[in-house]
Amino acid sequence: MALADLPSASSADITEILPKAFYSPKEVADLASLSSSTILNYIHEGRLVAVRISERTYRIPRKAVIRLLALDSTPRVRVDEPDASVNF
Amino acid sequence: MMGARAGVVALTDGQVHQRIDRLTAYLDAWGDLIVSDSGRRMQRRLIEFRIEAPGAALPVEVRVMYREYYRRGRDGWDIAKYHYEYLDVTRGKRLGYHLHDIGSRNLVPHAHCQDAVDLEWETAEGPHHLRALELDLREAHEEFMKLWAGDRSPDCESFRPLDVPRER
Repeated sequence: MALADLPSASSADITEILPKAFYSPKEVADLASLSSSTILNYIHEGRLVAVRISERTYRIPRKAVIRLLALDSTPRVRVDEPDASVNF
Repeated sequence: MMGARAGVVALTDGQVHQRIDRLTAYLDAWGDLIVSDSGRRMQRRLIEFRIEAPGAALPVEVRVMYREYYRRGRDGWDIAKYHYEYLDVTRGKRLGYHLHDIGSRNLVPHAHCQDAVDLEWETAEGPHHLRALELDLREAHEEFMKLWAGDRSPDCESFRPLDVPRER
C-alpha cells in the first residue's frame, strides 16, 4: 500500500504501515516526506509529541504518527457526567 | 480530612476545563484514550484519563490511568488527591504515584511499585508505601512513557520505604 492511499486507510492498513509502538524522527520523516530536522523542530515546538530516552534520542509514539499523517480521524472518547456523585 | 493546601491555588471551572482539554490533546498521542469528568456540578469531582497503548488495533503493551479528585472550595476546585498509575502489561509490572491521606497523615505523596498482572492495579494500595515526591500528571506520564519507550521495567529497588527507620 502506498502512503498516498492512506488517508482512507483501514486499521489493518495502518497496522501494516506502522507495526511498531515507537518511531525515530528519521522514520517519521521518511513516512511524512519531510526532513528529520523538520520533525525535530515539530518536537521542540510541541507540535509533535515525543519521549526523550537519552540525551539525543527521541521516540515518537505510533498514535502521534497516525495523527501527524492524518491517517485516522477517530474521535476521542469523552464522558461528561456533571451530576454524578463522586465518593472519596 | 483534606482541605485547601497551602501554596496550591484552587482552579476555576474554566481552568479545570482548560486543563482537561490540554491533557486530552497531549495524552491522545500515546494510545487509545478515554477521558471522563464526573461531578462538575456537585461538591466533589473526579477527572480520569485512561490510555491503552500503543492503541489503534495493536496489542496492548501498556495501560495508564490518571485520576484527579477535586473538592469544591471557596475559591474554586481544590485538588484533594490523585492516583497516577502505570501498568506494563508485557512485563506484569506496576508503578503508581499517589497523593492522599495515610492514616492520620494528610496528603502524603508516595509510590507503589510491584508485580501486577491483573486489573487490581487500578485501586490497589498494596502493603508497601514507597517514598516519592509530589508530581504533576504530565511529569508522571513522561516518566511512564520513558520507561515504556526505553523498554525498561520500573526500578522498584530504587525506592525507599515511606516510613523512615529511626535509630533509637
